[in-house]
Amino acid sequence: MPLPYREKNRGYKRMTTETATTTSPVARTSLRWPKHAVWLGFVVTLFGALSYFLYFAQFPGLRDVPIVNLPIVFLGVVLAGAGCWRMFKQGQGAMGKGLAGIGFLLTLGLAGLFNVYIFSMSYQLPASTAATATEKLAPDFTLADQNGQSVRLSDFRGQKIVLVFYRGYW
Amino acid sequence: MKEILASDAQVLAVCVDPVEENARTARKLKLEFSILSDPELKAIDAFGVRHRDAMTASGAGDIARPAVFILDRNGVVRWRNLTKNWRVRVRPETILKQLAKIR
Repeated sequence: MPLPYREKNRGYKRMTTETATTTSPVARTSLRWPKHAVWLGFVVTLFGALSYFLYFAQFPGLRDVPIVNLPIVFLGVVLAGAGCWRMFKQGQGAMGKGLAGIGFLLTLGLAGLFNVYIFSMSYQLPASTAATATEKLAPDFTLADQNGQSVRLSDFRGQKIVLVFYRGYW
Repeated sequence: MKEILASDAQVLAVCVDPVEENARTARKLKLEFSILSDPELKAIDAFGVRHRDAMTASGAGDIARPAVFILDRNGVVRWRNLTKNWRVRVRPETILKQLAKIR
């Protein structure tokens, strides 16, 4: 039996006001996504930063300018920022907003650290001394190789040498 | 890298890691050249490439800054590269080009 006209109207109004606070599945998702977005953003940034060191840095093309990892890190910040902004806009509770804010700041901090490392810290090296200017005889030395054998530089006279100094602590 | 080894140049790597660590690295990366262990930084200091209190994965310490020296057959330094940025390493092509310049 169809409802009287007025009751039908009231029913419609009730539905619209309920959307903001009801626990229907659609409303639940729209409340939850910002919270998830913040932490997802953090995870994405963390992944971007870690995967650089653990994997992508092996490839010289990707190591010098991290064209893969920088966008990933940036994407994480955008996600976290969007989620956090949405949380604040939706008028979430203080706890929700606080956590979202923290999550976003953490993500931003992580991205900042990554950028500092990439663009700044790697340049911090001490000035070289004149000990080995070109056109001078290289100092001789004797060191043990990976098999424990003694190796002396001057033994290689007659051969061209490529001497590579590594940072160590592979 | 292979081309450098195939040319008549000898490649020697130096770092502060102990012999066992170098052995492990050489095995893991299947390196075909010698890695020399310089824990007391003798050669590193001789070549002026010490990096004091560097930040590394296992805490601060003195290590070598990345550097490449090319010596000719008489042991004279003919080319050197001390990287300004320790993330950017010398490419093998550059080394090959420099090696070709030496008789």
